[in-house]
This record gives sequence, structure tokens and C-alpha cells, in this order.
Amino acid sequence: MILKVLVFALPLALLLGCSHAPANRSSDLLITGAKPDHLFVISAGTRTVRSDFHIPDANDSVGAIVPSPDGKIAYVLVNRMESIAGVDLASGKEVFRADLSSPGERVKCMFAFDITPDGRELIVYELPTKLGLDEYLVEEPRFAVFSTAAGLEAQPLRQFPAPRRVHLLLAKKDGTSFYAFGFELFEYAVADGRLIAQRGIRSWERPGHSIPDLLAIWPVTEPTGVFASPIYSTVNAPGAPPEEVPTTSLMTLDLKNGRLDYRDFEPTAALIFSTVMSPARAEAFGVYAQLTKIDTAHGSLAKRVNLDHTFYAVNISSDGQEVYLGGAMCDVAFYDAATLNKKANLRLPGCPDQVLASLRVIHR
Amino acid sequence: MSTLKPVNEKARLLLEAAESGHVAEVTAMESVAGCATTFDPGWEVDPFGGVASLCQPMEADLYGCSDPCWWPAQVPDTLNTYPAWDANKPSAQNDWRELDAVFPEK
Amino acid sequence: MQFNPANGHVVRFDGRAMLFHVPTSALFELDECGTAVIDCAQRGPQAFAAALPALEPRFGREAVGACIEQLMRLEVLQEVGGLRPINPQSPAIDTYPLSTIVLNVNTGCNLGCSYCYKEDLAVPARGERMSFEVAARSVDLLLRQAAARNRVGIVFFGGEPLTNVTLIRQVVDYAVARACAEEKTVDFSLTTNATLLTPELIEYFDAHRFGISVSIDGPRAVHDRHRRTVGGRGTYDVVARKVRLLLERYRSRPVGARVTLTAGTTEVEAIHAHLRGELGFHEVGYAPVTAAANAAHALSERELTAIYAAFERLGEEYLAAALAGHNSGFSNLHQLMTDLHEGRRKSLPCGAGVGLLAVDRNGALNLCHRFTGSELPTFGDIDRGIDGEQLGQFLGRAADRSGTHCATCRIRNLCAGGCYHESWLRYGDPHHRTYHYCDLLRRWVDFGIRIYSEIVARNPRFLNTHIEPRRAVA
Repeated sequence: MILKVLVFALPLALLLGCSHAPANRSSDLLITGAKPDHLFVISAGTRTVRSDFHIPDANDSVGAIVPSPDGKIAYVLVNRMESIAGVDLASGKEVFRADLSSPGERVKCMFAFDITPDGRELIVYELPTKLGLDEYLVEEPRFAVFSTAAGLEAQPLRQFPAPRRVHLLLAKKDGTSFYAFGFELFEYAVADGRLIAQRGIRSWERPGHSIPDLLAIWPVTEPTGVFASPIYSTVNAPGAPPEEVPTTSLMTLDLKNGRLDYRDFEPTAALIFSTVMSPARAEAFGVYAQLTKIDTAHGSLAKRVNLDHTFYAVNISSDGQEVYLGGAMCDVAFYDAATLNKKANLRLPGCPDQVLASLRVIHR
Repeated sequence: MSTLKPVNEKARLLLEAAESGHVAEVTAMESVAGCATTFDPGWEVDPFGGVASLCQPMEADLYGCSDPCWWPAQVPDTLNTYPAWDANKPSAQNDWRELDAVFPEK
Repeated sequence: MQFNPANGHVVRFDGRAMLFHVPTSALFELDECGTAVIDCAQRGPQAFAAALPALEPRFGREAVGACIEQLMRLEVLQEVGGLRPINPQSPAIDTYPLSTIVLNVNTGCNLGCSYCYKEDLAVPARGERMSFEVAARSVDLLLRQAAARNRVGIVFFGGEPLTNVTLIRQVVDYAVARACAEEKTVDFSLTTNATLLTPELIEYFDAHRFGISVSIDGPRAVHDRHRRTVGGRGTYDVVARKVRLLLERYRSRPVGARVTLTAGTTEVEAIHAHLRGELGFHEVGYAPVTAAANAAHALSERELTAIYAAFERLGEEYLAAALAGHNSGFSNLHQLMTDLHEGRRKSLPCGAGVGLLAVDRNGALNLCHRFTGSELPTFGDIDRGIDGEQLGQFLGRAADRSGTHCATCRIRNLCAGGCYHESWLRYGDPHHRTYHYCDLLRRWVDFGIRIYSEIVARNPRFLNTHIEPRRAVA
């Protein structure tokens, strides 16, 4: 009898990808940023701040965060979106810096940059404006590729033309291409910027669905390698809610195979800013003023709880058991993935706002 | 149906004046320069027409929306012109009273 | 019914017909019906009456009727016997909301340009400097008169203003403090021969956002013809060197060049290519010299015509650049584009006396900087204030077109009679209309209407990016 149970239990444990849940999760590190120049490293196991690093010349702004694949360096968009600083997570030293602007040209990167899977290159979206004596000249946007070994005065290795209004950039896991979210979903070759494919967001053919409303500026792809974001549209189909009520869907982009998908899951009842896919089950979590659990297998709302306040960012432990909330204000919250009960709340020292900094998880 | 197609702004104004029956002395029009007017559902009201789905509390959203210039008309432009508006005020919920109006430097 | 050329003017090109409405400076494009009606009307009332029946089957009775009615409402067509130019009654000018004062900081100048119109010019050693006392009281007067404005301007003039930098610095400090206390902004500018610029001065002006205009006539051969030192040596080398220094470093505002065209100098395009293309001035303004008709350097009629023909060639370049989204830096045409775009309607040729007055070293108020040291009566002083009655009379006369050709001229609201100083030197009377320019300027405005219409049709964005922002500065 007992043997049977054990035999049955083992494969399930393997399926869940973990055998000692607390031990695994305890080696997760959370990375978040906060005003004016903080980069926090938080131990998920002890739920304490391990390091509070200061990024030089952040100009009171700490935005999107992209960890290196080996988890040793965090690349952070700082200086009012005009610079990318690479911070060594052990020493806190700045080991990389790309200041995108130059005299007479102001360049903004609107949350859109990523690192290649081999950790060697950063691909950065640049929105340049030439500052003339009596006029501003809006220039054509471009992608710039930097070597992560370029040190503190990094200059781009190469640049390619880019479409306008890109707000998220994600490298494909095979290292050959990257995705840019703008009016559409573009895919470009890393080596030469050649446009490989262009799929709809604005021109997405989804029967009965209007053009989706997409706000995606939190580049979370761990731990599953699938990027997920809520999208809102009105649906005109039998069984759909009335015209005034939009439908929330979960859009997913699998960075391993490029598969783009969406799943309607509720007539919009609550706003969701960002989402993360669970590595353990067919579910996803979304956050804003509530914490939402989405059943991705059935396309339905699984559970929803109110939060103490708005959070912008959500992430999940490597074992899928714990959900982390961050962004907006000055605390990081820990929730049980199954019950959505709050397990803990960590107030960042000095209570500095995280604002639009990403919440990333590094698994060592 | 007009035989005259207005080419400069004065001409447009004049046609309107002429339409109402008299050719008044049309004076130069003031230009509306610069200011953006942003109506973003999610600030005064949420997408559902209420306030329950606005950021809670409002301070949670203050820097999240001012930093990327989401409401350019309601707060100083911290992206380009006044990046130090929130200097030494990292916590909106605690420091909002210190946030001040901005004035041109010259 | 007949066409009144005093109220409407048609410019035709490339199969298009533009109607310039003179009383308002509104610009329209005529459709085929409008063009045909005006064509007929311009032949005279009898020819018009005879031609009308032929128009009706072409365009339809109603269309022709509507077209005529619209043109009558604009007073472009008027009843026979009832021809009158529309010249709205200008209000009596009795307030002087100054926005700008010009301070003659020193009558001395280190150059002796042969065509200089300054009647009180002196060598630097004998230059008469304005005292800080007088300058400060001038600033006070400006701020008093500009009570309703929140922005005022101070222009430093001379002689060569850089021969009295000490005073400039003192005035800047004083004016900034006073303006700040009254919550006003003060803008500074000066025109200079550039020979006395230093890196330190450049930095100082840049820090205070001075608008700088450099007097330079072109490449060496042209410039050195007239712009020489008091000792008679050409100044191009020094000026070019200083200009390069200035343009390299100056960031706060665009720097303009001011060219004086004199007898023998009509190669405007070469001058532009040099000043804009080689030296790199942001914009270049060309002024045919103001001179008595018999002065050695005065431009002959033929030369003036040649200059305006060159302006039109420069204008075609300007158009090509505008269509490509750039400003070619031809300031004269750029200003005309601004005037047409805004539908500017002027009762007076310039702001002299109304928005601007010049103070000489004795504190007397002159009509403008060109008149300081001249024999034209002054209009008060910084102690007693503006002599409102005298100035009002002067300006009233200037605005009154009755009995002059200006009353019916089609560019009367853009030209408004011409520069007082030009008339003073040429005719001995500041109110004398500058008739020697009339034909040239009318043709120039026709040219401008064509260029403007082309820009509107083919790259209207140029107006948003290059013309409209100027309004905010003015």
C-alpha cells in the first residue's frame, strides 16, 4: 500500500519540477529597484534584503531590469531611460554602463532592452531626438547592440533601423533573434537586424475580437521562458459579454519556439497590469489592485483576492509555490500560489518607491 | 460650397466671419503651442467609469505615471525638463507634501 | 460690378490662382469658377457684364452667383462707382506699452565701415559712453511702461557695443534683478562687428542667452570692400576667426548674420553660400544699404533690381529646402513666410515708438537706434518719460495713408510705408513713403505668396516646425 503511494507520488513530484520545495525556493533571489538609485537583492527564502546597492548617476529613475543568464549581473535602465547600468550582484559595483545620449542627441529606451541568452550582448531599443538650437528633430528609432564586456563607456557594436513605439524587447532563447512589441509583434535577427517576421497585435486576426489593448512594460520571462501579458478587447461572438464590457485575455509568447497565443478568460472585472506564468501548473498570476489567478488550461478565472494596495509587478518562485509582488510602492509581498493567502510583506528600508522597476527572480 | 479655399489661418477665420454675414476685422489668432492634453481613463476615472479600479492609493501610481510622462499636462515633465522634481522624495506616500510646482529657470 | 485691386490681388502660377485679401492678409486659392469670374472682372465693368452670361452655362447659375456674392462680401468685387479701398480706422495711439529698449552704450566703434549710417559715430578714443546711471533709469522706464507684459527686451547698440562691455555687464545684472523682482523675463540682444569677441565674452553671452547678430558682408572680397578698420584695413580675417569661435560654442540661441548690400555688391547667392554654407550661420538677413540717393555706396535702381532677382533665386533654394523639411537660412524670405502664415496686418511699418524706443547717452528717447545722434527730434527722456503727445502725433501721421499711394497699394498691410530712417536719409522726411521700393516689394510679396502656397501644398509640416515656433518667441 505505502509502496504504491510512494510510486505514485514520485512522478508527480518530478512533474512539479521540485522534490524539496522550500529548499529550492530558498535559493531564489528577487531583484527589484527603487528611487532614487536602489537596486535591492532579496533572499526569497528568508524574505530579507540581502543587498541594497546604489546605482551611480541614476538621476532619480530606476526602471526595467534584465538579469544576465548566469544571474551574476543585473542590467538596469536608469537616468530617465537614457542609460543602462550593469551592476554586479555580488559586489554592487557598476561593471557596465551604456549612456545612450550624446551631446545634441537625446536617446530614450522605453523599457525595451534584453540580453542575449549567451549573456554576450545587450540589444537596446533607442528613440533618438536631435536637439537643435531652435528646434527638435525627431529621428528614426533604432536597435543598438552592445557587448556586455564593453565596460563603463560602452558604445554600440552595431545598429539597425527599428519600428516606432516599441515598449518591450525579448530575446528568443536560441539566441538568433529577438522580439519587439510595438504596434505589432516584430521579430528581428540579432546579427544583422533583418526583419524575420511580423505578426499582429494591431493586425491580429482573432475572430470576433477587436484590436487588443496592450500595456506591456514588465519584461518577465522566468522561470518558464514564456512571456505573458493581459490584453483587453471587445468580443462579438455568441456567449460574449455585451459590447460595453471588454474581455480580458492572456496573451502568451513562448520564447523557445516563438508560439504566440491568447486565451480569453473573463469579462473584464478587474484591471491587470502584468502577469507571470507558473512553472508548476497550467496557471498564471496577474497583479494590479488585486492578485488574480488564471486557469490557463480552461481559460477562466481561478481565484482573486484584494491587495493592500496596487502592485505593478508580479513574479513567481522557481517551484511555482510562491508568488511575489513588487513595483509601485515600497514593499515586496509574498503570497501562497495555491491559496492566494498572504505569507509575508517586506518593507524596503527607507520605504523608497519601486515605481516601474521590474521584479525579477534569479535562481542560483 | 466655396469658390475660395483657405490657404492660411487668417483665410479660414475670414471665411467663418464672412459666413456669419459680416467681414469683421479678423485679427491674428493665438497659437496653441506645446501643452498636451491627456485624457487617460485610469486617472480621473477607471475604465469602468468608477474609481474602484484606479491605483490604490493614488500615491502608488504617482511616480509610475509621472516618470514615463503618462500625464504630461498634470505634472512636471520629469523625463526631460525637470528630472529632479522628485529628488529626495523617493516615497510618494510619505513625501508627497514636499512635491512642489516648478518654475522656468530663466 | 468691378474688381477692386486695392482689396484683392491674384497671383497665378502653375495653373493655380491664389487670391490675397489685402485688408486682412488672408490667402485663398480660387477654384475655376472664382478664377474665371475674377478674370472677367479684371477686364473692366462693361467687359465683365458682357462676359457673365457666358460663365453661367459653364459653371451653373447658382455657382456663379455664389462666387460673386462671396467676393463681394470680401469687398474684392464692388459696385461700379462704389470703389473704395478697405482701410480700417486705426485707433488713436496713446499708450506706449514698450517691450524693448535699445541702449546706445557707446557711440565709438573700432571700425570705419564706409556706409555706416550712424550720424554720431566716433573713433573709440572719442566715443561717448552711456553712464550706468542713464542705463539704469532706462531699464526702470522700460519696466514701468511694460507693466502689462511679462517679457521685455534690452538691445545693446552703438557704435560697437563690445567697446563698452563693462556697461553691458552692469546693465545685465541690474536688469535681471529688477525684472526678477517684478516677475518678468528679460531678453538681451546685440548686434556686433564681432572683432572684439573673446571666448570669455562668448561664454558670458551664452550664459545669459543673448540673441546675437553679427554684421558681416560676405566672403573676404566682399566684406573688405566696406568693412574696414578706422585705419583702412580689411577686417574679414579677424571677423571670420571670431565668428568661427562663436558658432562653435554658442548654444543658447541661434546666431544670425546681418549683411549690408551696397553698390557693386549684388552677388547675394555667393554671399549666402559663404555665410550659411561655409561659416555656418543659422540664418542670414540681407539689407540693401540705407543711403542718400547720391551716396557713393548707394545702390542704383538696376542694382536693386538685380538684388531682388537674386533674392528670388535664393528663394527657390529656400523652397527646395523647405520641401525637404529644412530652413535654408534666408532670413528675409523666412520672415515673409511668417508674415503670410500669421496673416500679419500692419498699420505701422515697425515697432519703433510703439513697442520700441532707443535711449542715447544723454537719456533722450529716440524713435529707434538708427536715429540716435540724428536731428530727428526726440520724444521725451528717461526722467520725464515718453512725450506721449509728440509721439502720438508722429505715429498717427505714419498710420494715416490718405493722400498717399499706400492707400490703395496691395501690400500696404505688409509694408506699411517703409522704414522711417530709410525715408529720412533718402527724402529728409521720415513720413515720406519709400516709393523707390514699391515695385520691388510688390513683386517680392507676389513671389512670397507663390512660395508660401507651394509649401502649404507640398510640405505643410514645415510651417509647424519652422514657422509657428517663431510666434512663441516674438
